[in-house]
Order: sequence, then structure tokens, then C-alpha cells
Amino acid sequence: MPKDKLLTLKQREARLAYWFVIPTFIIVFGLVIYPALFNIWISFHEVTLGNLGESGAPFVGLNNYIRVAKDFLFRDALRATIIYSFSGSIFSIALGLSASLLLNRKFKGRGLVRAIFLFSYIAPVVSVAFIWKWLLNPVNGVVSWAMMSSNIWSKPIAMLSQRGWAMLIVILFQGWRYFPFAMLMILAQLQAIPDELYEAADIDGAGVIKKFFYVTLPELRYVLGTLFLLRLMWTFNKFDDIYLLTSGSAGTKVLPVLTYEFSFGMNHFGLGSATSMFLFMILGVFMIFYIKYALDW
Amino acid sequence: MNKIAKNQHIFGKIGIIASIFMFLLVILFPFYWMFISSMKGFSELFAYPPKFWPETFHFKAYWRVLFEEGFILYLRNSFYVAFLTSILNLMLACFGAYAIARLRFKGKALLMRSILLVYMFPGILLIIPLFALLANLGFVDNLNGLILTYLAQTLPVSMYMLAAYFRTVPAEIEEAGLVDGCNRFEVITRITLPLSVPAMASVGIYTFMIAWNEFLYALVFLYDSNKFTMPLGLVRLYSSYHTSWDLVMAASVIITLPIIVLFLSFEKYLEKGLVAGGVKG
Amino acid sequence: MKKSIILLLILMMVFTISIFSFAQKTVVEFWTTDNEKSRVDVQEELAQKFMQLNPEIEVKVIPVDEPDIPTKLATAKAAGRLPDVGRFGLEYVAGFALDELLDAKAATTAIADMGYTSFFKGALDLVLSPVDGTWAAVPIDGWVQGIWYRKDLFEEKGLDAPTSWDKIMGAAKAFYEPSKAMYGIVIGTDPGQVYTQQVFEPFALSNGVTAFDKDGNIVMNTPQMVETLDYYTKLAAYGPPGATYWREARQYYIVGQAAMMFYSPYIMDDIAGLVEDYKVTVTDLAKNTGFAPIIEGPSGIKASYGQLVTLGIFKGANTDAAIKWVQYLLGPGYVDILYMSPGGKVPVRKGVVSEWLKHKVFSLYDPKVVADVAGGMDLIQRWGFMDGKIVPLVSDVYGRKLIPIVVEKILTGDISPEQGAAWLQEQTEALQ
Repeated sequence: MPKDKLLTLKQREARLAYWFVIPTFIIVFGLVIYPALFNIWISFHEVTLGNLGESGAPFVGLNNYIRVAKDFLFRDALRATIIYSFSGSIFSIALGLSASLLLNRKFKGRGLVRAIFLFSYIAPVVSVAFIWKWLLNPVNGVVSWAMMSSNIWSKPIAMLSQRGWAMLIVILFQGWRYFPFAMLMILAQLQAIPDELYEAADIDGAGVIKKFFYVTLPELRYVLGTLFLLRLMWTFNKFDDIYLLTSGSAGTKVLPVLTYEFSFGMNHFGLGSATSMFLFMILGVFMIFYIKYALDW
Repeated sequence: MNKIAKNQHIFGKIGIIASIFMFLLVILFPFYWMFISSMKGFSELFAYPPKFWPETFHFKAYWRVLFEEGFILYLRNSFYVAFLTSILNLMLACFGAYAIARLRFKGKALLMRSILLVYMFPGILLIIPLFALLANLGFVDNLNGLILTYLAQTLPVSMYMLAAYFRTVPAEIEEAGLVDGCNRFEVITRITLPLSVPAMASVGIYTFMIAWNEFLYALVFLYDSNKFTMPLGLVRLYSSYHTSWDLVMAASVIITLPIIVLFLSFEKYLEKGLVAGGVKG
Repeated sequence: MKKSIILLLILMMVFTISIFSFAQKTVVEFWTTDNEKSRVDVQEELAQKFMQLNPEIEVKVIPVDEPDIPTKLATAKAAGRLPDVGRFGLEYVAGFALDELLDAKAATTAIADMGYTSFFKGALDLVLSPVDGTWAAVPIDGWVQGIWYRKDLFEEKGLDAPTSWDKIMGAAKAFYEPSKAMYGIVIGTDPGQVYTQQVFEPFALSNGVTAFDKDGNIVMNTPQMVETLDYYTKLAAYGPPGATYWREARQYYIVGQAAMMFYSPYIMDDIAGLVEDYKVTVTDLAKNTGFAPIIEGPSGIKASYGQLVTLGIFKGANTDAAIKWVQYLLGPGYVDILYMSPGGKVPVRKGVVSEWLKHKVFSLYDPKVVADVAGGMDLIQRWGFMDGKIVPLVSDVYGRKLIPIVVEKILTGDISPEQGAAWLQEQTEALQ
């Protein structure tokens, strides 16, 4: 008798669990997993505005991929994506590291300062993108005025529409906006470093710099390694920031922006899917190598 | 400490303070400029050299943005979307997380391991198929459809965070409840959840923020400008023919201020979410 | 259990009743690209008046951004919910007609009912359907683009109006003094803006470059195209630094820092100082402004560029109601529509012109300017529209921004005009 009841309890528990989990599962499956697979399908078919609703889209094999790879914008987009992602990630982590070191000791008002450091991260991307555009306005912006009056520039430069400058700006923006994420993660780790390690270094006569390189950094290896992977992954796929700042002009047309243009600018969804698959595969390959290597950290 | 070390010490301290100030300046200046630009009159806005403090304050930009450019509507839409996303997310995630944390069921291990795998698929990969999918279902240009897509993004990490927190609630308390005759559902609502308010607040506010700030999905899925959320409204304001920077700045302030206020009020709850999630990172 | 059955029954009742009441009214869903709030208000007022005259019809005004039209239509089609009437530019008409989205019969009926002779022929010719040989959509308004120039400054320097390649280049050079923040001309150089193509195209057309020939073949790589690219990029040197498009064109002109710029008559409000946000710092700018819509090329060909906006009636719409709405907009409501932006909306129906000209903005300009603006409809030429035939590929050329991109490449010195023309040919072919 008791044995039956126990079984039923277990079953009941399992059934309850399913009820709890099913809605989430449906939403996530329906709106993430299924579309991801659907995307692969689309990339092998010619899907345009005309046949968006129908399943009768013609199969074109690798044609979309070939067209994308041969497209005059693809090479630049690939290069831009790689430069942007790597530089932006490194820069935001470097800034995050500096910020976390600054905040590591207690001081009056630290809580407030730390909160302010997060402003650039939590603010909506649209508003910060526009304020940056306004500040960088070549005719009326503060940056232009500062550069001109200190004679660094002889005539105003429209940074967001000039090759080279535009990439620099979006990388700076990336660092400015996302360093708080790195900062938070590093800070958490920093505060877990046992004091004994520093004391031991003191006894050995190590100065501040030595302590940093021989105690702090090694302890942070794992966090930094993970951070780089995460930031790289997210920056690789980033659309909003560049689209809002430059719309992809002046050499900043990264692959996500190109995907958007193919799909919603030219209405060639097959090409857009293929581009996003390129993005996915390139990132995937990198990540596999990185994790394999990083597992040795 | 000898003199050299002492000097080094002071030097170091000054260096640190200076660095903190530099950071604060670089972070805050754009916000400051956003704020004052929204209150400058036309001639001061375009004054060269730029005016760092307006001589006269004009609030007309806010009036115009809200009432002539339709931002009241966008504000309402943003609130609707963010609020509903947050609430629905909490509801679904709480129960799902509880199942993961406490209940045994087949497939649980698989679910736990794959839940965060979902973040391998970024928005840019999903917009095309999602677009086709939602178009066929008639959910495009629909705020509720948008909420669904946001939920798909926020549920996994919410469940992960809440499950982790639920596990820290001592099992004995729940056992006691079960012994007292409560069914599992009552245990959750009367015991576990009240003890998990910090985590729930964290998830709720964090989700609200994500939905409020979100741009790409809103851009792709919304067309009727009556349905725009504020990020879209702001972009439209900028690219419209007769726009001015003071309007764009005022609109930016309107979008940003609630989030900053929300953040400062609930900061400690949010930080956990920002690290664990970083969905929009 | 019982309670839920009753609830369900009540819901079903309410549902059926509401279906019934909605079934009474025919709904006309109208997508408009005049989506600035003030304009939406005007259109909603018109809808109200229309509904009073036609109580069995309900008109829904839905504002949409112009670039979103194709995508929004695609999703609507996928969901089986196309609108009834849509307002969009000429470049979309051929594509939509080919995709079988438009009801050419309905459009033709609407035009015929209003009397096709009441329309300017030039406008009707542009909307001929590639499929049927009837009209694919109903024109509603348009504009012709041209050079707005400082008549007063031209007179001071004794220069002729900028109506030919030589005169334009000469004037641009004469006025270019960057140290005094004065520029000769503002043209389109931004690689991401349609404006660049819009300014380039009339120069191309005036040199016999039509991009596509009568049979739809791509003819980009021609010596005339090379010549035009060369001329255009040389002309850009006399403009302000950086990538420019219509924003710069407007800004520099109204503060007196440009002697010439390209624009549609949309700019008339701004130049006349009627727009609060844009302080015109030049006194009497409107009176001192001339308008040159026609460019004469080196071989004597005259060309001008413009846009035609149309109302399309979609397949599967509530056709009769849709036709009535279209006729209302082009009939009793027409002047209100035009007054939303009188400079930017040139009428396509002859009878309305005198009424339209009564708007305040026109009184501030030289009568010759006004005449040029009004008569623009018959002058418009466009790539891909020739002799009543339409080449749908032209909208892909626009969409891919091939011209803006090639202009930038030449300006940065990456390629030469010869290479540019070849590149254009290659890329346009790739679009097929």
C-alpha cells in the first residue's frame, strides 16, 4: 500500500513539474529553437517578399551562400566584424579591469560611484547612440569644438562618416557602453581573492605593479578568459549599436547590419539567412577553438 | 613607512582619485549634455562655441515631443510591453525554476544543461525566421507578439537565476509546509516565493529594463506607428524631416530617465541580474 | 464546470453579436506614408468627413514609414490581411504590380470615373501597368526636383541660371570659398542615402544615360556614364566636407553658406522661414531664391528628376469602398491633402492647380519659381520608366544603393569613373 502511494507521489510531482515547465518550454522552443532551425532552411531557399507566407519557396542549394560570399560588401563586412568584435571586446575588458581595480578598495561614496559607472550600460542604446551622434556632429558638436579649439584639427572632421574614424568611434562606443559588464564580473572575482596572497607578496617585497602581475592577474585568468569569449560572442552579433551610430557606412557595415540590409532593405530573405549563418559558423569555429584552448586556462 | 613610500602612497591615491574622476566624467558627460540640450532654445543649441550651461531654459521640446510627436503613445506602449513582459516572465519563470530546483522529472538534466544554450542564437540570427513565422501567424505589427519574443529571450536566464535562489531556501521549511497539509502549489506560493522576493525583484526589474530598451525586434516587427515603442519612436523622430536635436534629446531623456531612476532605486537587486544575464550584453 | 459553460456561452453570444455589427460596415484600411503626426491628423479628419458621407464605410488611417512599405506588405500578405488602399512612391508600383499585389482594374476604374483627361498625362504615363497595359495605380501627387539657388548672388556675379553642366560647374567654382564658410553647391555624396542617387540621376539622364534601355537591358557601362560620374565627383569638390545629403543641403542653404543645392519643393516651407525650427538667417531668402528644375547635358539633352506618389488599390480589397475613398481623396479632399505640404505636393489633376496655388507659401516666391514647380509634373523622367514601359529592377538598384556607393568609392579615390561604370554594370546584373 505505502509503495503505491510513493510512486503516485513521484508521478504527481513529475506531472506538476511538467505543467510548470511546459509553457516556458513551448515559448522558448517555438520562438528560439524552431526559428533557429527554420533559419537554416531559409538559407537554402529563395525566399523573398513574394513567397514569404508560402512553403513553396524554391530550393536553391548553396546558391545564397555563394552569392553572399561573392557580394561586393561581404569581404569588408567580414573584416569589419572581426576588427570591431576583437578590438571592442578587448577595449571594454581593459576598461572594465581598470574600473574594477579602482573600485576594489572601500572609500566613501563607493556605492554611488559604482552605480554611476553602470549608467552607460543600463541606458537604452537608442538614447546613448543619439547623444554620441550629437556630440560628434562636425559642425556643432562638443567634440569638434574641443578638437578645433585645441588646434588638433584644422578643419572639422565628420568622424562618423569617414573611413577609419567611424570604426574607431564604434569601438570606443563599445568600450564605453559595455565595460560595466566586465567590471562587475571582475570585481566579483577580485573580492574573492584571499588577502593572504597579497600579504605573502608584501613579505616578498613586491610593489604594487608586481602584485598586480603576479597575484591579481593570475587569479583573474579564468574570469578574463570567459569575459573575452562572452563579449566577443555578443559583439560579433551586435546590430543595434552600429546601425544607430553609422547605419553601417564608412566601413562599419558589419555582418549583422548586412544581414538586416539583405533581409529588410532588399527583401532577399534567403541571402539574409545565409549571411547570418556565416556569422554563426565563423563565430562557432572560433568558439570551439577558444574553448578547447581556454579549457587549459 | 619611509618618505619615498609615503610619497608613492599619496601619489597613488591621487592617481586613483583622478582616474575615478576621469571615468565619471566620460560616463556622465553625455548624459549631462543630453539633459541640457533638451532644454536649450534653438539658437543656443547650435551655438558655436557650444554653450555648457543654457542661459534660458526651454521646456517646449518636451511638450512638443510628448504631445505633437506622439510620444505619449510610445511611452504608453513601452510601459505596456515592459510591464507585461516582466510580469509574465516572473510568473512563468518562477514555476519553471521551482520545477528545476525542487521537483524531479524526466528530462530535467537535459533541460538544465540546454537552457542557456538558447543564447547561442542571437537576435540577428532569429529575426528572419521569426519574422516569417510571426507573419504567418498574424503576430507581426502586434505588441503582444513582441512581448512573446521578449519572453523567449528572458525566460531562460530568469529561470536559471531563480532556480539558483530557490535552492538556497532551506528544504526543511518547505517540508514542514508539506507535512502541514499544503499541496505543492501552496508551498510555493506561501513559503518559497515570499522568501525569494529579492531574486524575484531582481528578475522583474531586469526584465522590465530589457523590454524597455529593446530595439531590434521592435524595429523589425512593428510598422504601425501607433504601436511603436519608444526606441522606435526616437529613431523615427530623428529621421523625420522636420526634426531638431532638442526634440531628439528631450525624447532621449524621456526614455532614459525612468530606467536610471529605476536602476538607482533597486540597484542592489539589479546587479545580480546584470552579471548572470547580460542578455543584452 | 457549470459556471464555465455559461461563461463560454455568453462569450460566444457576445462574439457573434459583435461580428454582426462589424459586418455592417465595410472597412477600408488605408496605409499612408504621410505619417507625420500633423499630416495624420489631416487625413483622419478627411476620413471622418468621408465616413459621414458614406456611413456604411469605415476608413482606418494607418501611418507607415515609406521604407517599411514593402516589408509590411509582405507580412500582411502572408497573414492574408492586405490593406485596401496604400499610398507609396512610384518605384514601388511596378514591383507590386508584378508581384500581383495591385488591382489594376480597380485603379483604372477609379481614374476613368474621374475622367482621365482631368489628370496630367505625364503622371498617368508613369503608372502604366507592366502587366495589363492599364493603369496600375492612381497618381495623387508628386514633385519635381531642381536646383534652388541664390538668384541675388548670381546676379551680383553676373552668372546665368544654373541650367547646364557648364553653368552649374562654373557657378559652383565661383562661389566656393571654404575659408569664409561658403560653398558652391550641395549635392548628394552620402553612400547610405537615396538622395545621392536622386541628385545624380538627372545629370545622368541629361547625358543620355538611362541605365536601362527600352527592352530592359542593363546599359550602365557606357562612355556617357563614365563622363557623368567624372563630372559629378568633380562637382562634389565644391561642396561642404563630409558625406552630404538632404539635411546638409537644407542646413547650408538656409544659413546662407551654399549658393546652390538640390531639393524638391518640400523645401519651400523652410526657405520661406515658415518652419519654426529652422531659422533662416538670410533676409528674404525666398524672394532671392531661384529654381532650376531642368539640367541640360553636354549634348543638349534636357532632363529633370522627380517623384510621383500614387494610391494603390490592393487585390482582395473591398474594391468599391476603396475606389470611393480614392476618389474622395482626389476630389473633395484633394486640396486638404495638397495643403499638408503644398510645395512638396504638386497636383496631378489639372482642375485643382489654381486652388493649390493660393497657399501662402507660394506668394513668398518669385512667380516664375512657382510656375516651374507647378509645371514639373510633365517633365519628370526616371531610370526604368521609358515610353510607357517599366523596368522593375530599378527599385533594386535603389534598394542596394549602388549609385551612392559608387559615388563614394570614386570620391575616396578607390576607383576611377571608368571602373565605377563597369562596377555598376556588374552589380546591376548581379541583382537579377
